[in-house]
Order: sequence, then C-alpha cells, then structure tokens
Amino acid sequence: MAHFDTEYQRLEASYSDSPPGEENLLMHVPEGVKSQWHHIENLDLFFQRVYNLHQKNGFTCMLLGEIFELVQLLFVVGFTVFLANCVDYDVLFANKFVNHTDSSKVTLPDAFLPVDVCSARIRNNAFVIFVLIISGVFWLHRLFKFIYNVCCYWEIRSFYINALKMTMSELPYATWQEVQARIVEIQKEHQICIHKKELTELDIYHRILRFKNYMVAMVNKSLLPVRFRLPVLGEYVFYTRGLKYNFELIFFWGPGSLFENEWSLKQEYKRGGNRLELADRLASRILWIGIANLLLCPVILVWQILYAFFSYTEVIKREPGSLGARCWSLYGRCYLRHFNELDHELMSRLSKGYKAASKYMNCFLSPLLTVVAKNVAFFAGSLLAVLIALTIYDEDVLAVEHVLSSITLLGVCITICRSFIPDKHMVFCPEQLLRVILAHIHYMPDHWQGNAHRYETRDQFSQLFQYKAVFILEELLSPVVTPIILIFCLRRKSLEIIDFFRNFTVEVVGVGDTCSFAQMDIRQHGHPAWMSEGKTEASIYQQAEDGKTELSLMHFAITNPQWQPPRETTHFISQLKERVHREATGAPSDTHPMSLSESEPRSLIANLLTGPSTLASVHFDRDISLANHAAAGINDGGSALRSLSPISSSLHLRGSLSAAHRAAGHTSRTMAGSGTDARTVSSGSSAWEGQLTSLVLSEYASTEMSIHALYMHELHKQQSRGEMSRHTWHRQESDESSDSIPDEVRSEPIPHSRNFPRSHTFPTTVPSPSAIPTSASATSSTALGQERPTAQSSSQRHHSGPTTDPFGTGVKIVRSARVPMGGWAEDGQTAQRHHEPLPEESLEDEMPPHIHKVT
Amino acid sequence: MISQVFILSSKGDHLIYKDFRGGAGNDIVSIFYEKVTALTGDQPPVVMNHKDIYFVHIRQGGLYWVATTTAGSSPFTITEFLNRLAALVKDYCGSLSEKSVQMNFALIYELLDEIVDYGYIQTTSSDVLKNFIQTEAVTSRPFSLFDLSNVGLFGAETQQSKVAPSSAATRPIQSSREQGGKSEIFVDVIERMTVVIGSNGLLMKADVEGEIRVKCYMSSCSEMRIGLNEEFSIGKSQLRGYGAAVRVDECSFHQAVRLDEFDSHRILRLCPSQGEQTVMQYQLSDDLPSALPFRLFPTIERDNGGRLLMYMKLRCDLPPKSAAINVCATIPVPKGSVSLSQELSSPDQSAELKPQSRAVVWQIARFAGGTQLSALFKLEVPSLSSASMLEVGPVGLSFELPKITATGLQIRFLRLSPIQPGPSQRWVRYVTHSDSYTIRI
Repeated sequence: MAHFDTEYQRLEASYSDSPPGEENLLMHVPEGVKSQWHHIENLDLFFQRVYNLHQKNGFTCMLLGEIFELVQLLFVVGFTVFLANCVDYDVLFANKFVNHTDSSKVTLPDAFLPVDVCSARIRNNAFVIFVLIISGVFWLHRLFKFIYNVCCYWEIRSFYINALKMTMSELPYATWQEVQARIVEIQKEHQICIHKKELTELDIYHRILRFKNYMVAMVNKSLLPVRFRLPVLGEYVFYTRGLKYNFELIFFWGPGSLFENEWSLKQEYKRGGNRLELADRLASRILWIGIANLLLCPVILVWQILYAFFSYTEVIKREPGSLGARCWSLYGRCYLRHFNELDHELMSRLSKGYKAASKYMNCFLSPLLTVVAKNVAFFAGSLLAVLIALTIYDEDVLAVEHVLSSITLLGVCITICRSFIPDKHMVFCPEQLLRVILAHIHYMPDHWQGNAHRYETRDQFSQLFQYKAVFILEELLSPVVTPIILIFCLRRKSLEIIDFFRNFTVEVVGVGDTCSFAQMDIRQHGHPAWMSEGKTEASIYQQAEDGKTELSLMHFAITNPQWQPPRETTHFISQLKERVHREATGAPSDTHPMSLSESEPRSLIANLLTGPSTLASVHFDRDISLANHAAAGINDGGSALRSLSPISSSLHLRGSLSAAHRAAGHTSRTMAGSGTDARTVSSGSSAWEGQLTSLVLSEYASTEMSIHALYMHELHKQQSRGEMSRHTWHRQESDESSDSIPDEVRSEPIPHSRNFPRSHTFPTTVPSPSAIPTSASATSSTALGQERPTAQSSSQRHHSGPTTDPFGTGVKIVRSARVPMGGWAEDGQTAQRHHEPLPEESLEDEMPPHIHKVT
Repeated sequence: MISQVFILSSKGDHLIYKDFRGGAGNDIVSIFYEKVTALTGDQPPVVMNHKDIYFVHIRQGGLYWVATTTAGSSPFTITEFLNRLAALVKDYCGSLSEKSVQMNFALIYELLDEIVDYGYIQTTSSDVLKNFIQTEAVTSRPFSLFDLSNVGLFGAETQQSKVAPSSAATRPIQSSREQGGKSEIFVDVIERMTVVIGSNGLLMKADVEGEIRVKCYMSSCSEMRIGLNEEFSIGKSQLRGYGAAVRVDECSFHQAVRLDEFDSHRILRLCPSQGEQTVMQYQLSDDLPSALPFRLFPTIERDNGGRLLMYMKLRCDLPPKSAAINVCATIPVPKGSVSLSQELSSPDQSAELKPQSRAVVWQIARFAGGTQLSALFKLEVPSLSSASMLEVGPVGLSFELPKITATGLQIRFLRLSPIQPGPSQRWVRYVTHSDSYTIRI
C-alpha cells in the first residue's frame, strides 16, 4: 500500500486501562465530590423547574400562589353551588316579604336558605352532584399535584441555595441569564448532565423548550390545523388553550404519544419504513382523544364557563373598557415566538409591542361605527347626565326601581361607544406603526409591508392580536370545537405529522431528541431569501418560513452573548452584525477587526446608550450614529427608534452613564480622534462595566435585536424587490470594504445633486406628517438644497433641548444628507469620515459633522 | 486449483517460483512477462490465458504476484488468494518490496508450503500459520538516529516516546518475541480524498473513502475494543445536530468485528489476529464536514514574447497548527513546452518541467495550514497559440495530511482484554491523502 510519512501517536493509556470487570461502567462518577446534583436523570424537568422557580420569583411566592389557586378552585365551586342552591332570590329581589320582629331591614343572612333545606336541594339535584364530584376529583388531583410539586420545588430550592449559591430573596432580582450562567458554571463541578463535560446555553434552552420548539416549528410550517376558511367569517384562526393542550397530549406526553419520555422520540417513529402504519395508529389515537373530548365536553364547558365568569366579571365591572382591550392571541404567540425563546423573553417582547399594536389596530375604526357611536354616546350621555344630576339633587332618585341599574348600563354603553370614537389627536400612520410593531415582534408576512393601511392587513394582524372578548369567547367555545378539529382536521394530517417528526428530529448528544429547527442551523433550515443565500442547503420543505431560523439565531446569539455557536453559524452572525454595525455606525470596520469582534455585542448597545446621553452634551456624531441605526433598518426610522424606549426612559441610567461616557468619548477622541464607536466602547467599557448589570445589558440586547430584526426584514424586502435594491445593495455586496467609497463622491458638493435621487429613496413610505411636525419645513428646505446650514442649525436647537422628540428631526437631517449618495449606508460613513479630521470642533460648537462637510 | 505461484519483480526477475502440480513448462514465467509487458496502458487484465493455462495476477508493492491455473477454477478465489498471500508476506516480512522478498525467500517458500498443498488452498489465517512458521524474517533496517534518541535517558519521558515513526509499523510479526516482548498495536485511520473543483472555484465533487486498519503485534490478545467518536453517525437520517458530528454515508466492517456495542456506544469489538487487518471501511460523498484543504487561484496569460505566464496561488485552508506534507501539484502544459523559468515564494519548494508527461510539477515538502504560497512559471512555448492555452490544466494535487481526518473520525480509545501484563503500546495514526484532487482551470 501507499507509504506515508506520518508518525504514529501514542494512544493515551490512562483511559483505556480499566480492569476488565469495571469497563462496562461507562459513566463513573468520582466519589470525591459529595454532590447530590450530579447525574440528574430527567434534566428536562429539572431545568423546567429551575426556570419556573425563577419565573415565579422564588419558592415562597410560588407556594403561596399555588395554595391560593387551590383555595380559589374550592371557592369557585363552593360559591357557585351556594349561589345556585342556597340563596332565596325572592327575598333578595324583595318579591317575598320577610317578617322581622325587630326591624324592617332585610339582611343578607335572611336571603340564605337554612342548611338542611340547602343540602336537601343539593342532594336532589343530580346535576349538581355530578358537578361536585367532577370538581372534587379535579381538586384532589390538583392537591396531589401540588404536594408533589412542593416536594420537587423544595429540592430545586435547595439546588438554588446550595449549588447555585443564590438565596430565594435575591432570586426575583436575578435575571435568567445570570441563573443560566451559574448553571453552566456549576456543571463543571457537579456534572448535572453526564453526557457532556460542559453545558451550553443552547442545551439548557433545548431542554426547557423542547416541546415548545416543536410547536413553533409546526405552526411555522403550517402543519397544525389552526387556520380555517369559514363561509361567513373568511379566514379564521382558531387556536385555544384547550386545543393546544390536546395537541400536546397527542404528540408529547399523553399515553401512546410520539415521545417515549421527555427527551426521546420513540424509535419506530425515527424510521421511515412503516410510516403509513404509524400514521394510521396516530389517526386512530387522535380519533379516540377526539371522542373523549366530545364526551367530556359538558364537563369542560361547565368548567370553562365558571372559570371565565369568575375571573372576568370582576374585571368587566371594574373597567368595562378592558374587554375592548386586546391581547396577543395564542396563535400569535406561537407564530411570533423564536425558536429557543423562553416565556419571559417572548412576553417582554410582546409587551413592548403591545402599545404600538393596539394603536395600530385602533387606527382602523370604521367611520360608520364612529358616527353611530358618537350619537349613541350623545344620547346615552345626556340621559346619564340627567339621572346623575337628579341623583345629586335628591338621592332618593336612586331608590326608584332600576335607576341605579340604568345608570350603570348607560355608563357601560358610553364607555363602549367611546372606544369606537377615535382620539381627536390621533393620526393615521399605519406603516410607521407597523414598523414599530415589527421592531418588537420580529415576524411579519412579507405582503404586509407597504400594505399596512389595507383592511386585509389589519384583519390578518388581528389574528395575532385579538380582542380579549374574542379570546374569552373562543375559550368558551373551545370544548365544543376542539373535538371537531381533532377528529376532522388533525386526523387527516397524521401522515404529515409522522413525517414531520421523523424528518425534523435530531438527536443531540447531551440533550436527546430535539426539533432540528431549534438547532437554528442555517445550513439545514435557512431560507435563501433571508440572508442565508448560498449558505443554506435546505430544500423548500426544510426551510423555515418567514426567516425564522435566521431571526431566531440572531435572537439567541444576542440574548446569550456567551454562547459559542458552531463555525458556519458564527460566520453568519458576525457577518450580519458587521453589516448592521457598519451601516449603522459608518465605522470602517476592517480597520478595527479586533475591537469589533470583541465588543460587537456591546458596540451597538453602546451606540444606543451614547445617543441620548450625549443629547444633553453636544456629541452630535453620536446622534448621527444613533439616527443611522434607525436608518439601517427602516426608512422612517425615527418613530421606530423612539419606541425602543429603554433609552429614552432610563433617565437615571443615562445620568450615571453619561459622565463615564463623556470621559470615554474624550479618551477616544484624544487617542485616535477617529470617532469610531467600536473604539469608544473598547475604551469605555471598562468605565461603565460595573454599572451595567446584566439586566441592563439584556434590556439593550432586546433593542439590538430589534435593530437586527428590522434590518433583516429590510434586507429581505430589498432582495425580494429587485429593482429597488439596485443602487444600494449591489454596491454593498460587491465590495466588502467600506473603504471603497470613491473620494470624488465624498468631495462632491452635496447641495449640487440633492434633488436628484429623492424620488428613489422616498418611495411610498414617506413618513406621515405626525413624525415631522417641526422639521418638515426643515427637511423640505434642505432637500431643495438652499440655506441648508441655517435650517439645520435651527433643528439643532431642537436637539439641544431636553425633549424626546428630536429623534425624528435627527433622522430627517441625516436622511437629507444621505440622499445624494443614493443609499444611506455609505453616507453615514462619509459623515463619519468627514468628521475625522475635525474631532475637536464637534465638542466645541453645536454643529453636526456633516455641516462641516458642507460649509 | 492452483498450478503455479510466482512472484516477479517489475523488471521481470524471478523472485519466487513454486510449481505445485508439476508438468508445466519452464518458460511459463517468461511467457507471462511478455504478455504483461506487451500490453500498453498501465492496467493489464488480471486474467490472461496462454493456450490452456490461465494467468491470474495482481500488482502489489511493485511486484507481480501471479498464479496459474487451468480452466474451471474461480478467478475471484485466486485473486483473493493472491491478495491474502501478499498481505501475509507483508505481515511476515514487515514490508513489501523487491528487497524484502529477496531477503526472505526461504520464509516465503515456507509460507507457500503451508498455505497451498498440491494446488489446493489450505489456510491463510495468520493465527493458524504462526504455529508452523519457524523461519525468522530478515529485515534490513537502516540505521537511524531516531532509534537512539528513543532510548530515553534516565527513563525520562521524551517527546519521542509519544510518537513513533511511520516505519515502526513495518516490521515482521514473527520477530516480535525476541525484540524484548514489544507488544504493540498500530491503528491506522487512512482517508482518501477524491475532489474535483470547477474552474469557478465551486466544489463539484468531494468524496472520502476511509478505512481503519489495525496492525497487531500481540501474541495473546483475546479481545480488543476500539471506541470511535460518540457522535459518529451513519447516513443522513441520524444527524445529531451540532457538536462535532462525524458522519459517513456508509460503512462496512471486517467479518470478525462484533457490533453489539456499536449502536449505543460506537465501540467495535474484535479479536485481532496477528498482522494487519482492515477493520472498517467507510465512505462519505459530497458533504465534507471540514473545508477543503487546498484552494488554487490560477492566472494564466500570454506574454508579449510568446511566453506563457502561469501565476499560481495555492492556499492551504487547514487549521494553522497542522500542515500538509509532500504536496505536489501537477500542472499540465501545452505541447512543445521547451523550458521553464520559475519564481517561487519560498525556498523549500521546487518545480520542474517534465516534458515527457507535458506537465510542470511543483513540489512543496511542507505546507503549513493557513498559509499561502505562490509561484510564477514562465514557459517557453515556441508555437503558442490560443488553442494551446486550452491545454493548460486541470491541475492535479497530491498530498498527505498528517493527523487529520477529513471526516473528523477519531479513535477515542483502544482497550484490550485481558489486560496485557507487560507494557503494551498502542499507536494511532491519522492520515488523509489525496486519491485525486483535481482543480479545473
């Protein structure tokens, strides 16, 4: 055979020389460490509990909460039975006269039936007995579960205290990232997971979110039957908690489910051979579960009604408007969830988007309804006013029958009507609002963009963001509809489901079987239209829709900066970050590769931090970089960025940071004068490292993620609309280095060509007047290329004022400056570039750097 | 049924000749050699006939291994027999070469006596044979400093005790007894790459064929367990997500390998007999987990003076700590190339024009990972036309990548049971080499 020059290496003997008897013990836990946390068998459950305990703010809070839940249950049942059987309503409504010897007043105890009558009534009513038995069984079940949970969580508590060294009192103030870091840390000494030497963040997420990732993937691939085309309502999404519970029961943990235990799929489902047979089996299981649902339907229905009644009537009474308030639907949560996103991350994201989303939905008030509502409100209001006036005059009016009730009713009526009357000062700017929403929810079908004002878009958005009343109604309907969906819709998909689980399950060492989408491997599941062009090898069946793989990957990498992704993935992330960063800051990234790669996760944050803090001071180059952030992702970015509110709202933080930052800014200025933000951060990070807890970092991580999400959507849009991209993107792609901007472009007199490309960069999405109340005139005048310095300096005055508005104006200025370039990215750089030789001046006078360029 | 067995050197010298059944003419060897050399092309047919005699031959170690037979016996049996014979000779003599065969002719005759009796094959198992073979192999080991430095002054653990030269595995199995009871096991993980890169730099084809070979010098070893990477998976369906997943498309095992622990722990169990065995063979197509080791950036243009300029930039994409050795790039050049002038980027390279094969051979003894070498070749081609420009390329690369496997396969451990009393030494060697690595221009 061929002759090789390669040397032999010695195979280390230490590992292999175990005596023959012991060699079968593959996992040998050293005796020295007396830890009770090594080798936890069901790590899924363990991590879930660790997470839950953290989310529920410690053991005591959780214990109390669970106890109250039990008591509440008891109360709901007891009180309902009591109301139904033991109250003499005739007495209450004064239809029956009660004879009292001492006074004529009717007291509440008078309305109660005596105990023996009451119990007799209950005993005779079979239905009540039935309900009582059912709820008793249910309650006992809950009780046992509670006791079991207490035991388990006690263990978790001691895990927190002994292993993680965190007391229960500090737990509510620790972020999950901190807890997770400690878990990763202690794996080294305790060996929680025996299959791996070291745990990664992704492993923990995989274990906690194993089934949720599957659900997200199934919704993403439209596998679950939750969308229906109804004859009258059109396309409708029906996805309730009951349905979700049933799905999970069928797929994950019910008897005979696809999963053998928490962490592994049954072997036969991994092989393609007998898929038809398995699909048949699954179909029959679904059928049986559907039938069981149908049989139990009355019980569930009663339960749902009771539960809804007691949890919502109080709310409705307190603030009737709350029913009009919306909430993110269950489907929306599934659709918007990233792979590997924990509950609290999703919740905070959606909560941030809530305001904008409800604003957006409120934009679409039907004018007809408004007219009607206005008038109804007028009549109801006048009636109410009269009644109230009469009451004030003489409170005996209240004693008249139904006056109190009619006052209440009229009040409710007015409140409802008012919700249909738009705010007088509200302006219709759906496209911007949708941008802001997108910055938080990160997912959106392609066709929404540019169609934000259409009613169809609104309807589709309402599938994600529904009325709470609709939500409750759906929950109430769910016991009836669920079996139908199971039997008629899900059963037909059983083969697809079997195929899905077989194709998209991977076995990861140390984690078990997990959804392959959750690996966030762009090579296997990337979508070519979402920046993974050329990197992905996925077939259409394997591609995650809506760029979910890419966005999830970014999200995970940003929320877990310690995570070390595999190689191609790192490449993707760093490439994207670099692009965002470069176009955002205009910093010539290739000159500082080290500082960039090291401080990449923080550099954007730092930009955002510096933005507002330097508003008070006069570093306008920062302001531009900040504004460019907005521009990086969005055309009308000012409002979107304003909604990324941690910056503008964290005044106290700003106060503490600005000093450090100014110092950092000074150092960077003096040492390089380059004004590159990467440099600033690397020098400044040490100054404020101590002040920034991980909580703060994670807050800014969400901001950073928003920017990335906007950027990716923008890029996606550009890619899908070829001709739009011509003048910006080709350039970006063709030459990697930002040095390639030709000098003549920079030295080109800017006012000269200002008018020309405006038509390109201001397509249909011109910001609505609301965003530019003061600077509209400034923009137009600068766009005409006359008296630019004065106009700008006038808007500078706005900047220096302590208002929150100047973001909008800042963006305007930047945009007008970048218009001649035919693309925003390059111009941000030129602005920076021109700033370079003049670093000191921007400290002294209030001119932004690009003004220097002009004058 | 075998009539004769003989071994010829590449020049046609008779090294070994054994007639089992008698009756054949003496000139049979020269008839065979004439037949083989008369054919053009580098691969003469394995089975040839002359009147009613059939020749079956293989080439190994630069030698012709020939068996003659009459009609009616299976050619495959005889081919397999010849392969086994060559393997046995290699085991017993240490290496296969004309010299070793010459020096050990007595041993080989003894082997043939045991293996074949009156033309019928008896056994080729080295376990059986070792009881009968008495002759010691004669080896000619060149004196090397390496052996001296291996002594280990004062028992110090020198660097040398951690590596062994590749020649360490080429020693006869028989002589192990009096060499101080040196019981050693050598494991080779050898992968061959077949790569075609298109002219646009895109990968067109990338195959890896690999094998695990065990060479055992243990006299008494009941069982051996070889642990592969735990992430090792076969086929696409078993993808194990992230982590250093080692995937092959298919693999096959030696018949003596027991696989009862393979599914769960990736452990191969076998009872090795002395000598060399191929324990496992595997292959992987088109989906290499690592980047390709080499990239070539060629620029080819015509000079004003009718010279052909070839500017070659070769980049090694291996990790920086590893290196490729014996890299050799063969660049086909137009017909009628007369002379070559070269500018090489570093002194340890060499290049020469081989007019008979119409190629420039560029040799690099050692090529560290992450570096880039360039060479400028100026070829004097008297009749240079644009058509002859097309004759340039494709470039063939041959190389050896020590300590690297393209698939990432590693030997986790190698356990012997029962435990050997003496100091047993286990060695492993990972090699990836090029089967054909073609870069189109």
